[in-house]
Amino acid sequence: MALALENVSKHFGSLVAIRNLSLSFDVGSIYSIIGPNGAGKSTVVNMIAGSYAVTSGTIRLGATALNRLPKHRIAQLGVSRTYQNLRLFDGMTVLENLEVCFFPQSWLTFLTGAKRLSKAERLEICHACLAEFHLSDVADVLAGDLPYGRQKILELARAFVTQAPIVLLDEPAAGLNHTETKDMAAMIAGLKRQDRAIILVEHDMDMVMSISDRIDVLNYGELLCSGTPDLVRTNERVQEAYLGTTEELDDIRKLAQSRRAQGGLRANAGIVRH
Amino acid sequence: MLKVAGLKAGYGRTQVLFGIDLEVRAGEIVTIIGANGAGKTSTLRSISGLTQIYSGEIEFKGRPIRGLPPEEITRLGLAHCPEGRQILQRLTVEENLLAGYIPGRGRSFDEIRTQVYDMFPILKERRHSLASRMSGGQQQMLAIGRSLMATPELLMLDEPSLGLAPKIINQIFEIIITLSKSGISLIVVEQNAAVALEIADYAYVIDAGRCSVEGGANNVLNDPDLKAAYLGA
Repeated sequence: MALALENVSKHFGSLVAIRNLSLSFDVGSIYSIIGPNGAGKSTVVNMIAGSYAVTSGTIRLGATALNRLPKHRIAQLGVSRTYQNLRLFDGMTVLENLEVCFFPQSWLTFLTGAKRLSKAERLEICHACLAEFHLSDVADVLAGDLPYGRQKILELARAFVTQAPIVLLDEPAAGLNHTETKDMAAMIAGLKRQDRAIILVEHDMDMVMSISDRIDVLNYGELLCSGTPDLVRTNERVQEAYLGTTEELDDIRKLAQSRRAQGGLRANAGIVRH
Repeated sequence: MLKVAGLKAGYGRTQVLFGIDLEVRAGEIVTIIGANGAGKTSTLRSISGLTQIYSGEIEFKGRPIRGLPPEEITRLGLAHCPEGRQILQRLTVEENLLAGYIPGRGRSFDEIRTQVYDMFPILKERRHSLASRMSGGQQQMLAIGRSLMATPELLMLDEPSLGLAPKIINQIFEIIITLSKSGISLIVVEQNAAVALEIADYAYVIDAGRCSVEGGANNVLNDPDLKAAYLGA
């Protein structure tokens, strides 16, 4: 199955957030969408998931046009997503947070004639998912009581528990430290499957560069560059618009050094372990 | 400038800090690093008077500030730019700046606003835009600009690079150095520990609510154990 954006545009009043964007995502790969703040990355995710209506163009999942469908219908067709900010049910347990992902199944079975899962079958899937995401030990803990890093993993688990073929991840590494981000990257890389496309919006370049099969760079609502991590990393226009140039980093280092050179600061004080 | 000694604090009965000692000297950039949930944000919140402090002392410019209400602490010259920016989404850029202005610190609103606009031309350009319409990087600049409206002598920045594009992160770090050069002392809490250590003078590592390690930023940056634990190298 493939997800395709065909000449999609999105206007907010006079602001053109996305202009004539065409992209296609096949199952079996991990894709990343990157670009400056305000380039339109989240807008793309929101259009695919049905949170925003497209202004023009078509979004197709297989042969089905998604862009006139309500978002719960798009979810039922197999597009799941996470949000930039956590949207867990804090007052429910970790297990319950997974279980509610199956809530629309009555609609699904009604519309498609698929077999309805029993409570026991649902629980079995949820427990398997908890194990896959290393959350079994906290199955009965309230989601709101988990440390932030594990809340982000629960959010991730929720996107995968229904086995949706298209999974959209909006900044899964936001707020995680280096080690947690590395673990998260390894986890997402391990979720790549032949019957699933993972589409990632993320600013952590270590994660993006290490797990993506293709990277699409947006700038001012248009596709600036698309290709393998190596191609994108070395593209001068991408560096200029988004990644920052090595010259810029050198400038910051020089500035920092000139500041320290003023003296009296503790930059070279020894390490004390308490 | 700031001295924290034996700080134990939390939220109600949930204790999160079990003994924080730290010092910021005038003109310094101090960075606090550590895992999520270690107590970095709670340390800043405690200094600002936003947690329940069980014991310990906090001294700012030689004066004890523990127990003072947050607005009083800000009025003394200690500003806090919170994690996640927390700007007022439904107000304009300029209204956000006005909200951050603290009268009685010797400078008029117009005077500081001009200075903030000089530092962040994009805020001047968009001063009548709703804050919610700004991009993430612009919102972070607004959050920093708003903190500057309090004319701080010590500014605490909590995760200023959170959720920002790499290029914008570079700009934010450049701004931090510029603020320092203008005479403001800074505490920077950062997940991006490697860059934070490159621009900072002194670093504290917080682990499970305690200061576990401290040292000059150059030495922390090059310590093999700390590198493995916090810099992912």
